[in-house]
Amino acid sequence: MNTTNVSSVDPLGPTALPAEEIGAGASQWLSQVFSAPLQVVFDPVNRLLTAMDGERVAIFSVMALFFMAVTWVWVGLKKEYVNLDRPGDSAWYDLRLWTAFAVLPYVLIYLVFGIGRGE
Amino acid sequence: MEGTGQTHLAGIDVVIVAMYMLGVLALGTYFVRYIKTAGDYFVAGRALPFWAIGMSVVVSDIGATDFVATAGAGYTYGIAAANFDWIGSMPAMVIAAFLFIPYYWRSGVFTIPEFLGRRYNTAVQMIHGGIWGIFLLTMLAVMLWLTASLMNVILGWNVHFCIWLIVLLTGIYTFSGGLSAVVLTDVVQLVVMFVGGSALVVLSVYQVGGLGSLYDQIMAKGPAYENHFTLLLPHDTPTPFPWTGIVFGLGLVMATAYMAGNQAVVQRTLGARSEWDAKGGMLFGAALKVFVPLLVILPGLCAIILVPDLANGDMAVPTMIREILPPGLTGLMFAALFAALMSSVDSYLNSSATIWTTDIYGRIMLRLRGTEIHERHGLVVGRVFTVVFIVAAGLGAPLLADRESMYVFIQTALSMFQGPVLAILLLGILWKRANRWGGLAGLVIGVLFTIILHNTEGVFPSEDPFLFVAWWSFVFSVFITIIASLLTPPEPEEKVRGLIFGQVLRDGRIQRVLEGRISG
Repeated sequence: MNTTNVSSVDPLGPTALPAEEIGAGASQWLSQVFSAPLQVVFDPVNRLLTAMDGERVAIFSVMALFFMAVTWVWVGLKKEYVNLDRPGDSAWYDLRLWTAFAVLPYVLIYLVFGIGRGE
Repeated sequence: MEGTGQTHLAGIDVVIVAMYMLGVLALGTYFVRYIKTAGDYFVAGRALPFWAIGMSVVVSDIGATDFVATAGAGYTYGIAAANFDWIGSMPAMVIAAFLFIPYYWRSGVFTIPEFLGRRYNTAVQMIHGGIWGIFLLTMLAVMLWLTASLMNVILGWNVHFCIWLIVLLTGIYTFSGGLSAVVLTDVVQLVVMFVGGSALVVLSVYQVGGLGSLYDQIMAKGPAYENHFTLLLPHDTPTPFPWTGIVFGLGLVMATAYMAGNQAVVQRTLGARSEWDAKGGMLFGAALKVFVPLLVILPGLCAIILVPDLANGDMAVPTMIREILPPGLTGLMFAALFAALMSSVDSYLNSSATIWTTDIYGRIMLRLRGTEIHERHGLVVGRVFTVVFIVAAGLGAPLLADRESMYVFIQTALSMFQGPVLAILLLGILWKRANRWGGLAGLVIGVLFTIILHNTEGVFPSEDPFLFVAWWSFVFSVFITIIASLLTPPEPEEKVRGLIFGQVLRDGRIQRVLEGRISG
C-alpha cells in the first residue's frame, strides 16, 4: 500500500490556508457535539483492547489472519473454482499451492520480527 | 530538505538514465499497433498473462517518493513501517484474488464503479466513479509535483523541466498503447527498480558490516531504538502503528479496500487473458511484495548507523545516495526512482481515463442519447481524456507548490471512503439481499460517519487514529447497508444472478449465464 508521507519533500514547506482554519473549526465543533456519545461507545472497546494487549495476542491475531486465508482457499473454496481456466494439470498451475507459498514468507517474517519487542 | 546538498550525475549516470527513458518510450509506443477498440485500450484486449499483472500491481504501488519517505519512516520508527507492505498485502491480495477479482472479471466490466452500477444502481456507480475520478486525477498532479521537487532537491534539476519530461514520456506511451503499454512498461520498470534500488541496499548493508552487525549496532543505541526491529507495537504506542490498528484497520479493511477497490490496481486483473491469470497475477504480486520493504526500509535502517543524527528521517536516502553510491550505480538508482514514478503516473493516468470514459462520460451519454457509447467512440474519448489529463496534471502540478495540505487532504479524504466502499463491495458480492438503497445508504451515511469519527478528538488513544477510523467506519457501513436493505424491497432475481459469490459456487448453470453475459 502506498502510504507515503512526503511533507518534507516540498521544498517550499507548508503554508497555512483558510481551508485549514475552516477544517480546524469544523473539527472543534464535531468534537463538542460527538465526543461524549462516541466515547460512551468506544471507551469500553479501548479498555478491552488495552487489557488484552500483549505480545502473544498480537502474534496470534496476525497468524490467524494468514492461517484463515490459506484455509479458506484450501478448504472453503472448491478446487475447480480456485483453478478455473488453469493452463495445465501440473501442480505448478495449482493456485492453492501458490497461495500457500505466497503466504509462507509473511508467516516467517512475522514469527521472527513480530515477537521479541522490548516490553 | 534544504541543506541536504546535491548529487551530481556523472556522464555514465546520465547515459544510464537516458537509455532507460528511451527504452521505456520505445517499448510503450510499440503497442499502438494492437489498439483497435476501447477494450484493447482500457483492458488490454483481455490478453495479459499473470506475471505481467503481478509485476504491474507491485510497481504501480510504489512511487519515487516512497523510496525517500518510507526509508525515512524506517529511520524514525524502524521496521514497523514495513507493515504497510507486508500485512498491507497479505491476506488482502488473497481475498482480492479469490473473492473480488473473479466477479469483476466474469461480469466483463472495465471499472469497479461499473460493477457497483450493475450490482446496485447508477447513483452508486456515479458517486463512486466521481470520487475515484477526481482522486486519481488530482493524485497525478501531486505525484508530478512531489517527484519533481525531490529531483530538484537531490539533483538540482529545474522543477518544470522534471514535470514536463515525465508528462511527455508517460503521456506518449500511455496515449499510444493504453493498458498494454502501461503494464508491459511496468514489467521493465519493476526490474529496473529492483536492480537500481538493490545497489543502495547492498552497498549500505556492506558498509555497516552485514545484517547481523546492523541489528547489533542499532540495538546498542539505547532504549529509543529497542523497537526498531519489532513489527507489532503495543496498542498504546506513540507511533502511528499500534498492532490493533495494524491488524484490524490495515490488514482487514484498508488493505482489502485498496487491493479490491482501487481502480489502478484492479484494472490490470480485468485485462487478464483468463480468470486463472487474473487470480494468479494477484498471488504473484503478493509474493513479490514481500521484497519491497527490503528496498525501501533497509536503507533507512542502515542510515541510522551511517548517517546518524539527521534532523529529518526523509533525508536518509538522499544523503546515502550522495555519500555511498559511485558513478554508474548512482545512475542506476535514479533510473529506479524514475521507474517508480513513471509506473505510478502511467497507471493513474490510464485508470482515470478509463473511469471518466466509462462511468462519467458513458453514463451521461446514455442519459442524453439512450444508448451505450460504442467501442470505437470509447477509444477516441479515452485517448482524448488521456491527453487532457496528463497536460492538466502538468499544468496543475506547480499550483500545488504552496498547497502541501492539499496532498494530506486528498489522502485523508480517500481514506474516509475505504471502509464504506469495502462494506458495500463485500455485501454486494456475499449477500444477495443487499440492494440499491442499502448500497447508497451504506456509502453516503458511512462516509458521513467516517468524517465525524475522524474529526472528533479523544475517541481513540492514538494521535493519528486513521487505522481505527478505517475499521469502525467499515463496521458501521456494514450495519447501515444491512438495515437499509432489509427495510426496502429486494433486487429482482435476474439482476443479481451470477453476481453473488455463493450462487456461482453452488450452481454451474449460473456460471454459464455469466459466460453468456460476457460473450453476449
